[in-house]
Amino acid sequence: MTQTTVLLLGAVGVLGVGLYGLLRLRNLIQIIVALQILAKAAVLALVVAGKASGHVNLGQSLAVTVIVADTVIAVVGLALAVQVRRRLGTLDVKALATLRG
Amino acid sequence: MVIPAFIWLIWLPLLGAPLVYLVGRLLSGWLARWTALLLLLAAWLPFAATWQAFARHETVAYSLGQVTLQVDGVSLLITAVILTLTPLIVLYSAHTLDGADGSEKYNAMLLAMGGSMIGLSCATDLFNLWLWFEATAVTSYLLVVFYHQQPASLEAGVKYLVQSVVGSVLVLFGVALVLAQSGTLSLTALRQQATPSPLLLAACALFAVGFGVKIALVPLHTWLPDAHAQAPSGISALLSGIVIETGLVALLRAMAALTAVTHTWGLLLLMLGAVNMLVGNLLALPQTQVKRLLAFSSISHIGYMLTGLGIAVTSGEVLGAQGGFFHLLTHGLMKGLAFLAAGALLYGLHTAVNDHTPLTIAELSGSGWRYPLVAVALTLALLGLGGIPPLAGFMSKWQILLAGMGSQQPVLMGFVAFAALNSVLSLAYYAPMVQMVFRREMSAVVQNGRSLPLTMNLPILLLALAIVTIGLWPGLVTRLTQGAGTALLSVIGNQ
Amino acid sequence: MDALQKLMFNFFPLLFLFPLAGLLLNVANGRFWHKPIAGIIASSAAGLSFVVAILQWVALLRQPDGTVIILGTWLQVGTLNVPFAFQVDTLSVTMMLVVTGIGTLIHLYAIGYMYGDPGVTRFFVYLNLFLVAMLLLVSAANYPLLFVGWEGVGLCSYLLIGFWFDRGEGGTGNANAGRKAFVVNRVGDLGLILAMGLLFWQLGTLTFDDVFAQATAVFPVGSPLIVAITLLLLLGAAGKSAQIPLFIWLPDAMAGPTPVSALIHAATMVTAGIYLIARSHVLFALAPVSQTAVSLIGASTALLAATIATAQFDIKRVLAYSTISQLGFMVAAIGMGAYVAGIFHLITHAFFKALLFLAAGSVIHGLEHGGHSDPVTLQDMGQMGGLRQRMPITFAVYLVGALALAGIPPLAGFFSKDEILAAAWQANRAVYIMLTLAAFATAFYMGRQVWLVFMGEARSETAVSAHESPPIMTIPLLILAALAIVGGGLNLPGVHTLGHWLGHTLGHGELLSFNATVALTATLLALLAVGLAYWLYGRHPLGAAATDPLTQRLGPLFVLFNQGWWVNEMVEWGIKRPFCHLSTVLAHSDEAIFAWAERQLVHTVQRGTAVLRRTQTGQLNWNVAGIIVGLLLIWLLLRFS
Repeated sequence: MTQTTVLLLGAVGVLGVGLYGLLRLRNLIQIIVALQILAKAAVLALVVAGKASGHVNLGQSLAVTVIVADTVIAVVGLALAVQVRRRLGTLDVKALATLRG
Repeated sequence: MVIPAFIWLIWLPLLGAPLVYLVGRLLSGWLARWTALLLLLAAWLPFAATWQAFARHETVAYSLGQVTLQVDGVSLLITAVILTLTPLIVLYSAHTLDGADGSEKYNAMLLAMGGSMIGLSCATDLFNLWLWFEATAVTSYLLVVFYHQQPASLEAGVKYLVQSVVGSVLVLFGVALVLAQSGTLSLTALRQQATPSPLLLAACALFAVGFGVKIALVPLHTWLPDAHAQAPSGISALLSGIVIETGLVALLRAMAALTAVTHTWGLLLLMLGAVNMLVGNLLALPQTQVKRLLAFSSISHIGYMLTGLGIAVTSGEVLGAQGGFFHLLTHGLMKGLAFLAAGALLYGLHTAVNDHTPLTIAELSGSGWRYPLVAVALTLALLGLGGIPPLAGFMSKWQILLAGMGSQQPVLMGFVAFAALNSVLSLAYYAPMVQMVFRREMSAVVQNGRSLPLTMNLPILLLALAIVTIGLWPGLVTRLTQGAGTALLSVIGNQ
Repeated sequence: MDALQKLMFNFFPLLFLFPLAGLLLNVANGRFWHKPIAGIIASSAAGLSFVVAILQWVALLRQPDGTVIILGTWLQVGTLNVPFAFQVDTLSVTMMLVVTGIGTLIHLYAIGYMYGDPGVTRFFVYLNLFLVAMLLLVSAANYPLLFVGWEGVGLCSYLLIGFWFDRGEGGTGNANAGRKAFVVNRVGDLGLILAMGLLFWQLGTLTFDDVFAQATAVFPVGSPLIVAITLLLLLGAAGKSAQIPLFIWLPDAMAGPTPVSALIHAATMVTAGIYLIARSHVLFALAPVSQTAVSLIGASTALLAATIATAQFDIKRVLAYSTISQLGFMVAAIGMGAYVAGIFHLITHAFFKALLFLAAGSVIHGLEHGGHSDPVTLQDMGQMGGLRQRMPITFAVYLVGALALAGIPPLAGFFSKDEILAAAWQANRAVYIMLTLAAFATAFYMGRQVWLVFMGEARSETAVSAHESPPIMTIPLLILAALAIVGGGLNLPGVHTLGHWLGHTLGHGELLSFNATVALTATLLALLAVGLAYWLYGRHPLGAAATDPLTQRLGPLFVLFNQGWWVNEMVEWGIKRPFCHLSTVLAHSDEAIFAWAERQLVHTVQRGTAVLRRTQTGQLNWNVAGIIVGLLLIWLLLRFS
């Protein structure tokens, strides 16, 4: 097993942690954290991919870009969470299930 | 280096967005709106220039460092739809926004979203595809939760955001896999270099799912009815009319580059399309709220586009791609119109009297006599969506059907027959709505309904005219759809 | 083509423009005008359109080979080129004359019938829209354009059946009837679409002239493909023209206002299927199997519907089933290649069935103003009786219509029905026997109806206070009655005016000689049936609360007929219906299977919808699970395909 494979598998593992979190968590803040974990898995994968293919610079610059984009998402998500808490008085996503069927 | 005209297609709206925001913030919302409108109309100039250059078979591209943006037939089609719908929606939303806090953000976001979608359609490498895709998504989250006082909008926004981010991370993971395996992200390079490998196959699946969340492929569709029904009506029109379709374009671009990895992706499109048509239609049937019903119908319409494109990918039938893109165009106009008309009624019957409950189908009763223009427009849009000739929707579905029949492959003929069957099924929910609109008895809300401003009626009228015109003379847009179809096939043709 | 003829063809677009202008005028100004004006505008539009149709006819008289009028390009996709092209030939002009002529009379009648209805403007808008669509259907020169009209008339039919959407069973009965018609029709439409797809695939064109010219070269006689195409066309025709197994929508369609029943569901729209087959006769000639299927379906529909009509009590339902039965006659005729006979019957049927429906409307109208307004009582023949003295004109014209339908010489129905029977005698004895039995039942149920409605004593308060309708309604009735009397002159045996005329389009050669045996048998049977009706209903007129004497005579059969062979209930209840009832029906298991399948389909759709709705939980975690499952599914698909 090469180093690259191990690292990629590690990224997949982090991805799995994030997805598992999204399946199980109910608090909106925790869900946003899970999303961040997901994004970090992708960042890790990009860096590994850059190294594996010999384009270290490319991989790292992509990773930096993703981190920026990712922060924007976190900001928007947290702003939403603030609104949800203010309007609904809770952060439990079970309360966010009025639209169905 | 000469900056080509087409780059202004992206810069005008993108740079215009902060300008509009500042004008709205510092001067007045009124001025901001007109600035946005003017900028969008001005964007038709570079569009015309690009169109001409393209028609002369010039390569219309622009490079900044390693990033290249290039126009092809698909980008032209997408841009045309964006530049048609967005200004109409700026106009349409004018009245509802008056007094609402944050109206300057609304128009700025609209511009930014339009610009990023045009950018997406011109991207030439996988990472840029993702980046523009992400930019579109962020602006659309903010637009969906524009009414952040409404708990339902917030709920829709949260679901949309979480699912969409999961999708985009999956795409990014796919990008990483492609980079690791082949060392390049350029679509053209990939097309020549990519060879079958498990990693690239996984990347294909990740792209299909990641972009699939945005296109609302079943079973990734669960966010769509919430977001499209709860967003402000103008935004619903854009989301259904063009945003999910740009996701489709992104998917096509990514998959087409990896055609060598999986030759069966055309079949995948067809199967996903069939499921989408059926599930979308079945879920639309029992709906009681107008906008939610329209949202579910978008899921089924994506299915028709996938069918047309799937035929093209499988059989190399250019008519299929043309039909799929034609349906993208007609659906954009028809669904846009349907949402605008439904939104106008929602405004007249509910919002204007400070009632923020959704508009139900039963409440439409008799609205045709109170709002004749909107009702006729809604009818045209619905019947068009249902595929009643000679409206635009029939023409595009018809073209897809012809492509399937013309391919002379039993499997493809089966798929288009299934599509025709679904089209029949869909009338079971469109027709009762039409009937309801023209009932003699007015529902209580219709009797108390407010009149509609000109800024709402005008875009509705223009879109309705466009639908009828395209239905009668589909030849008017053939060059656009043909260009897009050829562009797709030239990419996958040399496999 | 000489200059005068060319000039007259130049007027062709006005055929559509007049009704179009009428409907636009009404849409734009309907709210501001005094109500009756809408009717006058719509009627003038229809009348002017009729004049244009006459011009086309005159033009064809000078040179009957017809022409194709191209008004512009419409669809140009790949190799497919579909222009806005219109076929003006003897067949289409005949249809135009029927549609606009009968249409004008019915528009006029509707002014009186719909007087005072709050939705009268909407009604006339729909009616004019229907004319436009129907004219498009009969004059199109290619299948896609025909299909536009085909869908248009279906839409108008849907809108007009549900016109009084707030009436009917449980307040939604009429709206449901409309939806039923629409959905059943769409099943037929699917057949038409697929047939077009196959034709385009094989021939690369959808223009009538090219399709017919190439079909004979491309398809060997009886090849599976042409059989499939013609059977799909037949499915389309069966939906529109209410043939087995798609006829269940037509009786329910009577929920619409009576002028609509007369115009759309008797005289014109329902004949579109017959027109379609006649127009595609070249294709059917290549598929003898399909032709046999067409004539058998037609004949069995004719018989089945005629038996049902004998045991109905609703005045309009009798006529509705009679229409299905007569459409069966026409379908049977064109199936046997007797196109002229089929079209001839189409024309005479349009005369006398429009007459009967309008006269029935006049009866209902007369009763309505007697104070009652419950449509069930108004249309119940058990509550009528003795209307002869109270509504003399209506009675007289109704009698004419009934005799014409019964096939009593020398009225119009005798000649056309006789031609069909004579053709069947030569072509297929089984069909002949079924049609003869159907003709016998026809004469009987019309006799029964006339006695129940007009003779004897009034059996209810409502019937006592009935009165004659205004002249705006009776004058069209008188004109139609005159046509029903002399209509047979169009194609007298030995002269064959219509035969020669249509021969220019449908091919010469099929001019049936008069068959005295057949004619005599038919006439005697008709007289016998009328006598039977007199014996049952005429000798001892029905008392106020008496039951129909037919109930005892026929026993369980009466129930069977009265319930329409339970085809509807089968569709309503599927296999839930008690088995004792089903056993009577089992002899006709094909219908049972059809009904069961349809019911199952509805069930499956509903169940599927219910299950799917549950998947839309609204729960975020569940939605993310959807993404993960989707990822796995797609990966598997890509991996193993």
